[in-house]
Amino acid sequence: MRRNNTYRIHGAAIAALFLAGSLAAEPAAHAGQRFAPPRVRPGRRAADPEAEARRLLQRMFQAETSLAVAGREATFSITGGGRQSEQIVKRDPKRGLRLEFVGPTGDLLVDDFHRSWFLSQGGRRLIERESRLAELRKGIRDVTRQIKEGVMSARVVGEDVVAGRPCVIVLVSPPPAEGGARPVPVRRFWIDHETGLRLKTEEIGPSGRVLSSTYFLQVDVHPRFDDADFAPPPLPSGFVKERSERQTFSSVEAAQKMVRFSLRRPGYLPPGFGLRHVAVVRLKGNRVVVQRYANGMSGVTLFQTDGANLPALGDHGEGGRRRRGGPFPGGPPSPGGDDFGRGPRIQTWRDHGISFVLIGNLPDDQMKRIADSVR
Amino acid sequence: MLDCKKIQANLGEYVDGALPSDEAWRVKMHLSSCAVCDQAARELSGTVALLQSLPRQDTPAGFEQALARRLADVALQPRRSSLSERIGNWWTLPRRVRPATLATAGALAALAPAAILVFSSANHGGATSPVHSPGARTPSLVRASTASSDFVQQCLDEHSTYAAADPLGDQTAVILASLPGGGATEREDR
Repeated sequence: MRRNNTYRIHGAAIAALFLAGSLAAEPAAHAGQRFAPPRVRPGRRAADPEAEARRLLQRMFQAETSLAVAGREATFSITGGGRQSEQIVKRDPKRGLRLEFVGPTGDLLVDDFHRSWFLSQGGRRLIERESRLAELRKGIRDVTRQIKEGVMSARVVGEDVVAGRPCVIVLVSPPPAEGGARPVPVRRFWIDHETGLRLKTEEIGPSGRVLSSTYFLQVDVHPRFDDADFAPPPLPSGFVKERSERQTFSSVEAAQKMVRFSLRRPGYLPPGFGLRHVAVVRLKGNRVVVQRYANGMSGVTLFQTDGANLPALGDHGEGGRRRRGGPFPGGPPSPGGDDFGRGPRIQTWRDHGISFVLIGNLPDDQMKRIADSVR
Repeated sequence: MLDCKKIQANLGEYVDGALPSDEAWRVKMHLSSCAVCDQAARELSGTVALLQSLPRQDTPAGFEQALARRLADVALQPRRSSLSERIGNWWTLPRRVRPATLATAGALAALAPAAILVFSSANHGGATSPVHSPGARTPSLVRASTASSDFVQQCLDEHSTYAAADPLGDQTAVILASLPGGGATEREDR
């Protein structure tokens, strides 16, 4: 009997210790906070929501360039009738980025700040290019300046919880066009309270429709990585390796020396768009001049070449100008009949022996206006 | 945050009112805060309403009998022999016949590059190219379509590397959008 009582006392003590331990394990970020069902709460009453939004964005950029993070993400996009994916993310501020698409494609992206590799299962190719992360860091400086100068507006619009972590939601909008309309998409960012990490991104079209959304399902802010995580992926059997080399220039005038034909550029761009990159690349054996115009959130890329190897892209003959536009990749229109929801828009045409391709995720009217203005 | 994937898997039943009440409440709460799932639910409701509004199409009289006859006809058609069976059959041909078939095949193979060159120069040659009527598909147009599709796909890949480097962009959504899913070939014929 005495032994039974002793066991009961010990059992109760162990249970009490366990209960105390589980309560103490509450993450520091939630300490004192009652967990509420996830919903977008009304905007916080900050003294200056715009100043706070700018501060949060600055914090977000700092986190992206200085904090390691790993986790599982989901992405939805209304491209081509609706697409979705899940991917494992590993990001190290010193070693690079790894994105493994676990569904549906099985593709892989690795970037080590010097080069990037994209393994395309469907295309059975491994494409090596310049690092995207290196470009990203350059772009952060430009966008920070635009936000500070008020070219882009930012404000806090609410709070939410993503992957179990409280976040503040910041809406960023490019400058409006004449009359106050916003012809290009805006974005919302869910920024983690504790670390400043971006945990969710949403793109909203001019009609208010959500075009894409990427968010963490599960996140680890103290990850451990292997060196192999950021090493170039090996070439699988039966795959082809492609290497893209890009020669970058500071201006269109500087790139002009690389080609024999007169380079053209768009006369119209949406408000806030500026020239971000000029480069010459080799595509299908042709020397192609690339111009990228963007506002830090959206952009268009203009390709032009006089490559003799390139078949006519829907032309009416010399001097003729016929444009093919539409969604690419092809697919059924997204539900609701919103043409803009069909993903990247491509305009192709040929003029006096020069082939043009214009690609961008902007509404049709903006793409046509930009293409029409290219001279 | 509730898993949107799980929510969207239940949206059909939610729209039909077939979910248990506690599940339906959870879905409803999630839709009030998630624009993506809310949009998907609205579109599904719209699709259901549209289907319900369509007039019912009745099959014509005798449809089932006609279908049964067609299926029976297909079952009775001679089976097309496989490649291995055809090779085996050729091997059993009398020896005097085999060299003749080989010679014919060799001649056709030798002529093929010349035919391709003729078509190619007709398509690339001059400053003026013939206008192809929509739907017309010539060998040169098919080859042009394939090559230009490859070129446009490479442009799209290049574009995605720039778009993925937008500091306020969504790299994953850009990659997802740039994956091949249709191809320019269809557009060339339009």
